[in-house]
Amino acid sequence: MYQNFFSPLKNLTLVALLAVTLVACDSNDPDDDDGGGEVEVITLVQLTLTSKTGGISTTYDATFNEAGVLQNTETINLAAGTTYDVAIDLQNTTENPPESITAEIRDDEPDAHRFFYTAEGGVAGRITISNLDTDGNGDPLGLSFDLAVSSGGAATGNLRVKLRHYEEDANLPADKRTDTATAPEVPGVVENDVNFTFPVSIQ
Amino acid sequence: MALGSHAQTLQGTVADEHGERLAGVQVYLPALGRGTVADAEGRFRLTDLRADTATVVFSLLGFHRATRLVDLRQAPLRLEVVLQEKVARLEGVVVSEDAQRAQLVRAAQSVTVLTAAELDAVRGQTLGEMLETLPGVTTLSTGPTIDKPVIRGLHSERVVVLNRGIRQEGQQWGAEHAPEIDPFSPARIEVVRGAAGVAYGLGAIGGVVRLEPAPLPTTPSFGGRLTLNGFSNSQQGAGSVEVAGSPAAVPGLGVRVQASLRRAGAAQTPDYVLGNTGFHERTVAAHLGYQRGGWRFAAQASHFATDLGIYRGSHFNTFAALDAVIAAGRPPVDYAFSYEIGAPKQTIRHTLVALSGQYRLPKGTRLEVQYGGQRNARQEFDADRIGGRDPLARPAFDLILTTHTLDAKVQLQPFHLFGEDAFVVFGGSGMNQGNTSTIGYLIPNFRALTGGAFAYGTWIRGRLTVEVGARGDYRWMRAFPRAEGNRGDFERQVRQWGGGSGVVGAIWRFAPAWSLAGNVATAWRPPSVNELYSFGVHHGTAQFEIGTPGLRTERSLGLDLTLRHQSRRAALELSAFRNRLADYIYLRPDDETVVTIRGVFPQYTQAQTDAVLLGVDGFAAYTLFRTLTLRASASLVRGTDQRADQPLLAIPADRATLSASLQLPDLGPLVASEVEVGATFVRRQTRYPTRVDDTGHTVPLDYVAPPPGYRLLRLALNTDLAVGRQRLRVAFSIDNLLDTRYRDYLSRYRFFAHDTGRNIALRLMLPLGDG
Repeated sequence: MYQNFFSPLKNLTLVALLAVTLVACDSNDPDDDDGGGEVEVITLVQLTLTSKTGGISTTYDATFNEAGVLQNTETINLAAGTTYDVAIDLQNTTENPPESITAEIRDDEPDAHRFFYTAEGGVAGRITISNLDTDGNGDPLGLSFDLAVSSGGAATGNLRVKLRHYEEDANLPADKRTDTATAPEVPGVVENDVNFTFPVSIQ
Repeated sequence: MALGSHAQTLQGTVADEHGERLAGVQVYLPALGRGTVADAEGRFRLTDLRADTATVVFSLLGFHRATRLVDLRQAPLRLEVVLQEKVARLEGVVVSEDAQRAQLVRAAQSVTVLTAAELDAVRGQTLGEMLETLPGVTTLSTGPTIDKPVIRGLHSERVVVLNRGIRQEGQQWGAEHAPEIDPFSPARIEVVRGAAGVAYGLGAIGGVVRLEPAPLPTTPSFGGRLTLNGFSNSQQGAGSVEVAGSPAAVPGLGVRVQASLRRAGAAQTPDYVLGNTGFHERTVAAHLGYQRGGWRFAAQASHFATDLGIYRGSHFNTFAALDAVIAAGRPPVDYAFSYEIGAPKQTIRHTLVALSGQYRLPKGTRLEVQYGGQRNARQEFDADRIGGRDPLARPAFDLILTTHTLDAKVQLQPFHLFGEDAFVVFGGSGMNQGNTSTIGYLIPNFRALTGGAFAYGTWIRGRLTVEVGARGDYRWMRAFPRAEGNRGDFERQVRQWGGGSGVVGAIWRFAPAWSLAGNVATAWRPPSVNELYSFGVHHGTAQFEIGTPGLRTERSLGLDLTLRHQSRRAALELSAFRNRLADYIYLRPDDETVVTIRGVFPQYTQAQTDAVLLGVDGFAAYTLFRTLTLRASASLVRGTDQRADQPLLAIPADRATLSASLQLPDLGPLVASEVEVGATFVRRQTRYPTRVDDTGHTVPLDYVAPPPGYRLLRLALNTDLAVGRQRLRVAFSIDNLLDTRYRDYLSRYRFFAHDTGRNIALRLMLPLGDG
């Protein structure tokens, strides 16, 4: 009787144990996966400055990790009394080759984005931003712009880079046209995709 | 025919409340001095009985004695006797409804049950809303589509949800991850308040929610039910169809198939629409059981799928954005009502397979083995993707959690200990769980192996019942976090935790209709993977959350006293508790901020402290003039962070519910009618943690002081429409009758949106066939 009783129970246990053991042998090591926790982020913001008079271009990098946390920014060195052509480039360097976010904004959704550049701190009165490139509606986009430094002594401060993204509930192009660098974010309407500062030093 | 001259045969069967046949039951007719013992199939037969009437006594160790008066002049004489177990199995399905005694001794702990009839009155709502009526239970909600039960101030990793006998293992990495449960499936819900680690293992620190399907039919039958619900607030339609049967050709086989659908549009507050809060939920489930002799087998499978929208005004890119919306106090956009589910949204698929086998030896020892397999796939779509890409084209997170559980249990036949009945159960359980993430980095991939062994016993001496139990558990986990959240390779970290759980409890029936139960229990849990390794912005709260890989286990020591009364007119259950959590894991605000590409965020780190939760909860019901029933329930909790000497965050505010229901006389085809009015009172939470900000001011830790208290009224009308033999159950209700504007402290949306307004519900339930 006990023989009879134990064998089916034992079989059931064995089958279940086997199932548990089989999956225990797999691996969920992310290195074994394709991508393993791949993220969509901007990890590099690069400003390229070219003096309108001289010809030499200098690039300044700000780097971020996968969680978006600022890792490093290079100090932008500016000469007093000089005007620069500036271009911005955003990249996801976790991809190989790096993915250009700039190209996506320019090609796919220029109407729904707008860059704002603001000088802060000791350089606030010394820097003038103008001549931003425009989208199809003639509204500012800001992938390139002019940066003019007034004459005077040395100064240090920051340059804030803000990318405003107009979303599903935005009323376009009006919301973008009337937007300002200091307007609040509104969930579903407009949010900042980029908002940080580069240190700036005027010589 | 002369008296006593005929020879009569008495035969029948004996079973327990679950329909399980009982072997070895003594059947005795004292007046005639005759008796027999039921066979392995619970059958008995006595022949040649010579009497007109006789008393038959049925007795079995571990069960309450039953007596039947039989008229031996009637033929044929068949008896089907149900014996009631003396003790509710510690974590088994507990007892029948009618027995007062059973109510009084059902547990040494605070336990509340929602029966099928009570569930029918709230069906179609989320699990949290269904449980909210119970004392000690509140809801932590993230908008109208997501909520989870809070038991005495604890939730998520501290509450075990048991669905169809299997521990529900979904992706519970935050308050906005709700348990994946079809509200139409359970026929019975039981809520255990307080630590129950011995019976339920790791995580049963705050309590347990058990969801039980209806028992399968065991006698030849075919039936089912059709349920249709409509809700005005979100214009939700919900329906469920259930068919169950047992074919005459295969005795002992029972089958049930069920399918449900819920579809809702955006929910509405009294003043505005909560944009993008619709959902679309589908569930199919099948249950197959077979029993023969002492054997019972069951196979269950269910697939739950939901797509749910997240309120578009709740996604915060930066702390500044949250601040601006808090200042505005209401949505910045006038959303239009729609069934459409846009970004942000969640897509969840949960599949469960459960297999169980049970064998009952002739003398009553029971052996049970149960396997559960679960696969939980969760995709979360952000409101926005960089560069203006379509947010619905690719999820921000894509996680798959696979869990296998195996439980084995032996319930020994009742035996005598110090001359009294004793019951012992022991067993073990194992779990293998793995998580893989293909997109995004919410939590790292991990593999966890958990094993445990337990034993508990119950001893009954007259009016006193004593319970003792112990359990040991061990968990091994290998995770692949990114080093400090930085870019670069995945690290491989292995952690191990072990610990014990214990319980000592007693129930004393000090007067015929009264009992007093006391319980001391300890339970523990290892830190969860998100507490160890999370690293990133939480969009619902605009916090940058950082996990702490060095977290220790969290342990609770709970004391619980429950006074129960049960009589024909009145019922009372009043509990007082104290639960101390050593190394309580919580998110601690740091004095630092994190600079990200999107702006600056306040930084929060997973930390540990010692916490104490104190409280009182309970309910009372009293019936007047046989038709009017008054009910009251209340829940009070006080939570304190002992190390910081501050109140704990997000402890439910004091609440009470009063209701009166009146049974109405039958009116033509309208029978069993009842009208009910109820009111819920919630006080403002005055105990909340604070901090000193940069300007030296003391401010609430979570930005804004708790909202004011509120009162909600409810009206309900239930009736049966009887046409011939067919009945149609109609339940009509209005929640938030006065369309009151309010915010609940445990609503994660309280900062920027009101709770939902008036909701008129109509529920129709049509039994089919024998159902």
